[in-house]
Amino acid sequence: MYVKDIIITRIQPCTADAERIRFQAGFSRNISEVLPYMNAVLMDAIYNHKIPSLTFKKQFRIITLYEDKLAVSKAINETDAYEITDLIKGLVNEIYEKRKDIEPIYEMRQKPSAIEVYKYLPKINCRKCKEATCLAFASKFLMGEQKIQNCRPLYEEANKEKLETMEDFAQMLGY
Amino acid sequence: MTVYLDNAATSFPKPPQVAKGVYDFMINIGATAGRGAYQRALESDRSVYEARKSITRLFHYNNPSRVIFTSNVTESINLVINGMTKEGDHIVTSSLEHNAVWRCIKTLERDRGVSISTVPCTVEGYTNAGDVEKAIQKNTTLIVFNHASNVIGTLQPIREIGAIARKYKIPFLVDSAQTAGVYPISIKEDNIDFLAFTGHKSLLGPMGTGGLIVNWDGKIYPMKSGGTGGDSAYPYQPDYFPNCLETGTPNVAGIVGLREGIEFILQEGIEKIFKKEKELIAYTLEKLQEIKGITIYGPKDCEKIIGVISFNLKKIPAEEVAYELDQRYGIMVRAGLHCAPTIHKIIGSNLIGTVRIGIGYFNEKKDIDRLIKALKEINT
Repeated sequence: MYVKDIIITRIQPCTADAERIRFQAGFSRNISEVLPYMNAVLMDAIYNHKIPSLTFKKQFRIITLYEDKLAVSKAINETDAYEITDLIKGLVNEIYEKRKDIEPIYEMRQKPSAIEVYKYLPKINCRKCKEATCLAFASKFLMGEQKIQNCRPLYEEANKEKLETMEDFAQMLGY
Repeated sequence: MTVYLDNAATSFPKPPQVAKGVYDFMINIGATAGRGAYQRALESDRSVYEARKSITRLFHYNNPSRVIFTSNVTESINLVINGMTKEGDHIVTSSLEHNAVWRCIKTLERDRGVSISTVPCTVEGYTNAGDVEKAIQKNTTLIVFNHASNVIGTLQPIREIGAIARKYKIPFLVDSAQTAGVYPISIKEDNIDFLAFTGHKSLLGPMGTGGLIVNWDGKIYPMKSGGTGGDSAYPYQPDYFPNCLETGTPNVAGIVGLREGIEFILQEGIEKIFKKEKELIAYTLEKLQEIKGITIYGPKDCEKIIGVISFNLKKIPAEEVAYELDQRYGIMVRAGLHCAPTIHKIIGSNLIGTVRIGIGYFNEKKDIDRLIKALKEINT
């Protein structure tokens, strides 16, 4: 078996939604060679070859695979977390088995634009993040030069839903 | 040398890996499952999840989150019946129920104005599935059936009853106390909405383990509210499975042992287990008939029963037979009504009870030979 095991290493509540959990887990081996094949098979996945990382959705859950670990947000509970790891293990092993019949794709199929990210920022240009505008923050965020944690107004109660989406973006981008 | 023939109450011995699993967990992991911040707690979580998966494999179901752990089948049955029955509801049940069902629904009849229809059965314990359909009323909200009698062993036509329940969209609860682990059960093929099982009988697990598979989307009110490990600020029980019906620190050591028992069954193969027990039942029935004046209750047919055989000797009370078998011969059987009063009225033993043999996977013909020899001596 290509991936023999996936071990969950951390379970935490989701930052913006305490009813859901996020978790991290480690693969029993490096799976980077499979990610371009998974990118080809999973039509709505976002692949970043530089990291490398592959993000896709399973209903409301957001799953990001890295070469030696994975991160999932918005899982329901521990049982759900283990079901997801089983599902990922099955998926990685199945795609690895069928890789000769799959044309790998190394390009990122889609990436959110700065405008799209901007929609989920507070849009008050407070400069607490040391950027002149929220739009500038969005551009830097997409390049991996800014962290969500630097946008302090995002952590205010009124921006809870925006923070949740920004965390999804960060996970998708592999930050 | 003793002979244990009370497997219908609790199986003994267990496969060695059951005790080893419990021991290893307590020595090497021992942490609480549920949102642990450290690796050993996560391992504990995983052990519980793997047990859920083993259970789904055994009962041919595909959703581990719908496996609820309880302390035994009685708790599972009470959880369903109490959690979904309201005033004015009507329940259909068999004539062979254990008190786990019977007392539960009788209490609801007394305290919650629930009505009960008991489907008749023959003196051998056969139920006609058509009679279940006849018992259904407009307000029937639950059909609950024993899969096999714990007194005379008779298997009930749960697949046919389940099909009737589906036809009328009435949830169907099966008490698999005597069958889980020894007789093939499929949630889908047998049309089961709730499967209540216990860990300590034919599933070969420790006492204090059991569970419920919920293959139904209606509302069951939880019997208990409390901590689930996460979402702690929310003031009510969460609505997602399994946490909606599971609360408090679970019996992880027991659950690990239960999983080992189930894995043993999966490895051996349930068909093989069933075949061996059937051969032993046939042998026991044949040998018992050599005893003068014995009354054997139930179908006396190994194709129709699981490993439970009740009998009485003509002149010696059941309690006395059991006592003599234990004290003089080291043979352990059970005597009395076996917590199932309704079937005793049908077979005519409600005043005297029966001697009950509970055959298990680890019994052999030589155990039966010793029992027969002892019974012949007691009978003289």
